[in-house]
This record gives sequence, structure tokens and C-alpha cells, in this order.
Amino acid sequence: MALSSRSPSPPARLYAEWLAVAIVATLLIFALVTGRLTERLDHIVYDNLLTASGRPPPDDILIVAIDNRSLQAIGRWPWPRAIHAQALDRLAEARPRAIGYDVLFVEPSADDDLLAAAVRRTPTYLPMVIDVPGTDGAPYDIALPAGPLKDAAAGIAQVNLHFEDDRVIRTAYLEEGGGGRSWLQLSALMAGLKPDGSAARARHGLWQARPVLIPYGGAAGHVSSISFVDLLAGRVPAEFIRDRHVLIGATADGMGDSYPTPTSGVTGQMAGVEIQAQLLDALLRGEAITPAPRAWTLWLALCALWTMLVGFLRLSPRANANLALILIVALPLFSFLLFRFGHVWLPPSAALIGLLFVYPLWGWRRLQAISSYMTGELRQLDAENDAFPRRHRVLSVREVTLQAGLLGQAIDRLRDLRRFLSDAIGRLPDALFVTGLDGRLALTNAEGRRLARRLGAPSEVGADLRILLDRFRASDGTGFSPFAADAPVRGGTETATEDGGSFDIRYVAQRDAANAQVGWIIRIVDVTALKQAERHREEALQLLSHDMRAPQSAILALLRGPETGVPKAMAARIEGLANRTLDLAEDFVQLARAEAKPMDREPLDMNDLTIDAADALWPVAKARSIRVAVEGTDDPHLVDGDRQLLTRAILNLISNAIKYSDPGMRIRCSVSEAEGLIRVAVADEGVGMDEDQLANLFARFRQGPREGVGLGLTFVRTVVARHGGTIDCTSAPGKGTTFTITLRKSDVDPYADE
Amino acid sequence: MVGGMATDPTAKPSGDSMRIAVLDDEAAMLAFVTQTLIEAGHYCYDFPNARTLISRLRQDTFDLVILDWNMPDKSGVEIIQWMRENMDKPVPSLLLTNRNSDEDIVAGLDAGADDYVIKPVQPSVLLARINAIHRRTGPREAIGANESYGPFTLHPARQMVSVDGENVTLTAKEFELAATLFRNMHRPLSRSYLLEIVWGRNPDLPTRTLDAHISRIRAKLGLRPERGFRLIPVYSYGYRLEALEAEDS
Repeated sequence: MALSSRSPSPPARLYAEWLAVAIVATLLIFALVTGRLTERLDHIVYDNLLTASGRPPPDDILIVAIDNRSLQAIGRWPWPRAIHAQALDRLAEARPRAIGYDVLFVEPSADDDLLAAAVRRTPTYLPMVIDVPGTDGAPYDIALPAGPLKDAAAGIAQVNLHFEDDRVIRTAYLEEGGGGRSWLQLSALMAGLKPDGSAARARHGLWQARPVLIPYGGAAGHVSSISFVDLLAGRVPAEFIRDRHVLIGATADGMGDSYPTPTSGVTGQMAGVEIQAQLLDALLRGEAITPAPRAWTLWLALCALWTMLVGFLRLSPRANANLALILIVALPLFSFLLFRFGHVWLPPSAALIGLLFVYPLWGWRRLQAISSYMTGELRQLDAENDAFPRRHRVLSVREVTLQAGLLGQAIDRLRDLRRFLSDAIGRLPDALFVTGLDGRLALTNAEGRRLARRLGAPSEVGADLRILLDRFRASDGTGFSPFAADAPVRGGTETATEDGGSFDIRYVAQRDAANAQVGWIIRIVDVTALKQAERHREEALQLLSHDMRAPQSAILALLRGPETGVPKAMAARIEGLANRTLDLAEDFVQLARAEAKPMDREPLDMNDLTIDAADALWPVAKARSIRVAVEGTDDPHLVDGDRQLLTRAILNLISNAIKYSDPGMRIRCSVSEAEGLIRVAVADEGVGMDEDQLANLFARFRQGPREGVGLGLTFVRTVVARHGGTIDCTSAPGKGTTFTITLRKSDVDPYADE
Repeated sequence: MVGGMATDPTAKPSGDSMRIAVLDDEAAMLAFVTQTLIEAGHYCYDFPNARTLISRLRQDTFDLVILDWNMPDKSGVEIIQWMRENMDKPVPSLLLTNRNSDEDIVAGLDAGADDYVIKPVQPSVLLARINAIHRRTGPREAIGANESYGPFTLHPARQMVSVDGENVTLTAKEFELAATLFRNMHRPLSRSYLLEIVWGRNPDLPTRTLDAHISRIRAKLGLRPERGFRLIPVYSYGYRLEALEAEDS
């Protein structure tokens, strides 16, 4: 399987999408807040909040209503000022705290002095008129109460009300003015507020300052009221009026002084005088609501938005859903608490709309990014090759079915792979164990479980495999485990168990797709039968060797012993035959060992081996007057090999050369090195071979029948082949024969001992 | 032939005579060995089975036992083990056997045999090996200032070897190794023995150290059959220096 170099982290596109969503949402918030686009929505929230919160009716405010009944009893409006004076006189007798007379007395009348006298009896506040625009280009005109009333009043106030876009009265400006003058709202004046001149500072036009939201305590009729006619008729007890703020104003349907308010809802409208009464109530109790500055609204919305945006990056989708829910509940709650206890109105709609906008937007963009990433990954997976043929290829162009198809294909392949793996491992004839780095078993097969059962070790997933491995002992008696800290990434050894079994253990590091080691794969093969066969074979060979040699040795002993009685010539011939039989037996056993014996490789100097072989044959050569010369450099020529097998191979070559040499001839053995190869050549001056004989020799070499080439040369061929070397032969009739063995040079430094 | 009967050394008995017990179940071999030893002037006692040899060993003293490995009742190696377990001072032993595999040679030497000779054997070789065992196990002669072995003379004081009067310079380790081999002529010396004698207990020695030194002293001193000496590798075991003069004579 091809390794992907990509990390499994989310695609970079996801971050780009996030940034785009963040920018769009932030711009939206700016637009909503600065463009006051959510004002209507905020009104609805505010109105409902107001209606829901409510307040007990004030017991220190009383409205004297000029209602329908009063008009019926007294006559049509406007009434003579003497009536008003009479009412004020009645009130004065009951000693109210203050009176706000929400009736305009701006046009002069004959009864003004009478009324002014009545006004003076109690602190009475009178309204004025402000006309915008004023005459002759003035920004505004004012009309104060007529004549003596102006001076008689405790204070002159304005009674302007402010309509919102939806023609509802929510806000009142406590101070209004311009060009150095300003007037308080009637209720503000009655509540004892002083002008702070903020409206007076305006150079041009009429300026409205100190806005408050009127916290209506209830619907129309919330403030207790008495009818004007009842007051005049003396039907109102004085205690009812004493020490109360009294507001007098029109409530009759025909007088036009009524307005829609947030709380008037069902019942319709609220009289201007009651609005003043409700505002007065709020101002007296310090419960007037201040509208929060626009910047606050902006900050609140941005804070909520960016909390959500950071959440998108850091939290899981599920946690994000919870966060959104919490924010959507918390924002109005925060507004409500601020409204209720801080008397500040911070509209939550912009923040809410921001959240409701960004949440699905991000959901969409995120899904889009992940979806295209997934499609890409699945396509790449689909394109990768593995051992399994595709049942079908996904060709759909439509996104929905394409992804489903690719996913289905990928899942099919995973199933195939899993099935393949479990089959391959499960049916493996050898015990296989996959463990974590700590030796905990992750996977095994039937053979593995059988082996563990046999040796009394646990084999369930999660079991400690070291318990099983402890049952095995290497040839030197030590334990064997890859779980040591410095264990190489692959290894193996032959081990034995206490019950006499022989096992070949191999292990290799298990790696994940990123090539990091995550555990070990350990294979244990039962080689008991193989080992036993090997042992039996070796025993048979030894017995054969001994039993074949013993009678020959005895024959030779007999011939050399006392009183043989055998004629000398006969004795020599028998001795020769016995020796030949011994040699044959030796060659046969040697060859059998050369083919099967486990090689014992070590770095060997071919100079030494050649000298050893030549010296061993010295008596034979000397007996035939043949000189064996070893020519080589003084430098060591190292190969990695089995000392005994290689020495005997060279010995066989020299022995062969002696056989084909005549007395007085010389045999030259040379060791040389070139291009990483080491050559040992044995050259005689004997009869030699012609080309046919040479070709014949090699043909028989290749075919490998033992007769014809001789056991000795077959041995050489076997040994050289097992060392990965080559053997060559050059020969010419009368010029002698040269056999050359070529072996690979060892990597060991020959001078390491110095 | 009666077991344990001493054959009278009719030939030239000398001061080097030994009492030797020979164990072999093959009569011809027993006769050949006995004859060879007697002719060389030793007192020889032959035993056709292990049982009689062991009962004799309990009550008699020998300078050497020559043992066949494969015996019907008790193998030669088992007799060596019996001696090591049951005698205060085991008799020096020589295994004379048809078993010629390297594993057997190493097993025999490891079991405690003083030497290992493979059948069939030339009388001269057998006698040379016996004499070598006698030299190192018998009464010690004082080692003189200079020791001579054929054409080689060791000069321990100068750590030098002269060959036919010509001086050859060796390093300290090379001289030590050469001297050890000469002083243990004919005796198979294990690798660990040589390493410990020459280098001391040094576990970090490269594996080729011994082979390389053997190679160098053979080249420097010319320890070749032409000069009457042969350095023989005993596979999987070590080395043995052999003097060939006996054979020549």
C-alpha cells in the first residue's frame, strides 16, 4: 500500500472557510447595529419584557381625570378658568404635595388672576408649548402660560412626548431646549430633577437630551385616578389627596390627548397625563430605564459572535451546539437582568441575529469543506492499488451519490482487507502473535492459542505475551524477548522448551502507516520434528562413519601388529585397499555434512586456510616427492566462512592435484584479491585435460552425479556454492590444471587486532 | 588374552618407561597398540572391556590409560568421567578412536582427555603423542635458561626465538604464544586456554586476534612441515603444535 505523506489533520480549506464566515458575520453585526435594523425586533422584546415585569401601582400619585363624565357634568371643553381655579382650591384644602396641571393655559383669559391665586396656594407646575419650527426662521417658538400664571406656577415644564417609528411612546426626553435655554419634562420637574443644561448647549434648533425609557408599571388605569367632577363636588376625601403628587389632565376620548404605549396594548391608548404619572413614578423611585449607548450593543453582539467563532475552531460540533444554545438563552437573560436590576436597556436582537446567522452559515461551509476533502480522500483511496479487484467503479457525477458510492466502496475494501487478514493469519500453520510495545497481546491465531495452551500461558487479547516467551530458552540457556528496551527491530533464534520441543522464533517490529513502531509481530514455528530428524541423521552419519572405519582400522592394525604371517607385498596391497575404503567413507561423510551442516561463519584468512591444507597433505606429497608451494602476500585475505569446510575444500583441490602429478612436479597454491573478491588457485603441472574433458567435467559438475567427478570435487563444489562463491577450472593437455575458487571478501577489518 | 596381564617389556626399557593401560574391544587393535608400546619400552596392560579396567584402576597405579571411545559396556569418555569423580588424581588419558568428527574431538577433549588420536594411527604418531603427555604430566624437569625444539631455541629473557642460530624478533604476545605452543608440544590447546595464558582475562579482544597471531608466528618462524613442525587447527577447539621428527625417523 502506498504511504500517504499527508497528515490526518483537517484540510487547510476549513480555516479559510472559517475566516470568511468570521468576516461576513462581523460585517453583518456592524450593519445591524449601526443601521438600527433590529430596532423593531428590539421593541417587541422590550415591550414584552415591560409587560411581563410590571410594578405595583404607586400610592403617592393621583390623577385627576378630565374624563367623559366630567365633560358631561361641567360642559364642553374648554372650561372657564374659574372651574380650574375651583378645582385647585379644593385640592389645596386637602394639601397635596405638588400639582402638575397638564392643561395648557397659554392664551390669556379674564379669569387668569383668579386661577393664578389658586395656583399659588399649592406648588403647581404648568406646561408650556414648544412649536417647531418657529416663525421667521427661528428654530422654535415657545408659548408660556398666560399672564400671571407664568409667575404663579412653581415651575414651567414641557410635556412633549416622543414617538418611535412604530408610533408608540417608549422614550421621554427629560430635558429639551436649545440656544442656552432648556426646560424639564413635567414629571422630571415634579420629581425634583434639575436641568443639567445638556440640551441648552445645542446651538441650532430644539435639542432633546437625557432620554429615558418609561418603565410603564401597567396598562392604562394603572395609576389611581379620580374624576374631575367628583373633586369639584367634594366627593373625594381629603386623606385621599393629602401628600400625594397630583396630576390633572384630560382622559376623555374626544380630547385627543392619548397615545399608544407598549403596555396599553389591548385597551388601546394611554392618556398623556397617565404617561406623565408613570414617568413620575419611575423617576421618584429611581427606576427609569436608561437606553444603553449604541457601542454597548455593538460590543455585546461582537463578543457573542466571536465566542461562537472561537468555539467553532476549538470545540466539537456537539459542544458548539450547546454553546450556541447557551448564548441564545443567555443574551436575552443578560438584557433582562440589566433591565431589571441595572435599569439599563441593552437590546439583544443584533447579537441574537448574529448568532442565528453564523451558526448555520458555519455548519454549511464546514460541511462543504469536509465533504470535498472526503471526496478527494476517497477518490485517492479508490485509486490506490491493493490485492483486491474492484467490483465496480464509482462514476457518478452527482455529489451526493458520488460520496455515498465512494464511501461504500471504501467500506467494502476495508471488509475485504479485514477478511483477508483474519483468514491469512487465522489459517497460518505457524503460531503468530501481534503485541503492543509492552507485550500485551493484540492478535493471535488458532496455532498461537494452541501453543499457549500447550505451554500453559494465557493467550486472550490483552494477556501478557512475556509469560509465553518465558517458556522458551535459547541454546545458551538465556531467555528470549524482543521487549527489552534495546531490542533490534527484527531478530530471531532457535529455542527449546522444557518439554523437549524445539521452536524457531522470529520477530519484527510492527509499524503503522506513518512508519512509527507500534508493537511486535512474533512468529513461533515448531521445528521439533525437523530438529529431531536432523539429530537422527547426524547420529546415523556418525554411526555409519564409525562403523565403516572400525573394521578398516582393525585391518590396518592387524597388518601392522605382531605375527601377521601375511607376505609383505600382500600386506602392502591390503593396506592400500583399506586406506582407500577409509578415504571413501571419510569423503562420503564429509560430503553429507557439507550439504546439511549449519555453517559456522567467521572471518577467515584464506592464506592460513591454504597453508593448513597444504601442511596437512605434506606427508602425502613428500612421499611422492611432490612440492606444494603456497604463494601469497603477507596481507590477510579475509572471507566470512566456515573454517572446516573451506579448509577441506582447498585440501581436496590440493589432494586432487597431487593425484594427477608425477614425482618431482610442483603444485602452486596462490591467494589473491581483486575488486572485493578473493581467489584461491591450485595449479598442478600434471597431465592436464583437453577441452572435451574439461567441458565434460563441468557438465558433470552441473548435473551433479557424484560418480565421475569424485566425492572430493563434489564436496568442493557444494562448499563453494554454500558460501556464494564460484569455482573455475582451466586446463590444457601436458600443461597442467588450475582450479580457482572465488569468494566474496569479508567486511571485517583484517587489522582490527592491532 | 587375559585382561590386565602385564606384557613384559623385553625390548629396551629406559628411564622414560611408563605403566600404560590400554582399553579396546577390538583384539587386533589391542595387539597392535600393545606391541607398539612394548617395542618402545613401556609396560603395557591390556583390557578388552571397561569393567575389568575400572576394577583394576581402583587398586593399581598407571601412568597413562589409552581408551577406545566405543565400547560395549562403558565408553572411553565415561571412564574419563568415572576417573575424575572417583580418583584423587585421575590417570592421564588418551582417546584412541575411529570417531573422527570435529564435534567428537571437541567433546572428548572437553570431557578431560589429555589427547585425542584417530584410528588408524601410525606407531610413530602414537608414541609421539604418548611422550608428549608424559612430558607434561610426568615429573617436571627444570626448564633451562634456553629451551630448544629442533631448530628452534627460545630465549625467554630476551623474548626472542632463534631458528638454526638466526634470531627472529617477535612481539611480546607472539613470543608468549610461541612459547606456550612449544612447551605444550602435541597437546591440543583450546582457544580460551591460549587467550587466557597470553592475553589474560580480556573479554573485549577481537575474535580474530588469536588467528592473526598464529598466522604471524607461523610465517615468522616458518613453523612448516619442511622444518619438522606443523601448526594444526583443531576445529571449534583451538590449536596444536606438532613435531614431525618422530615420523621422519
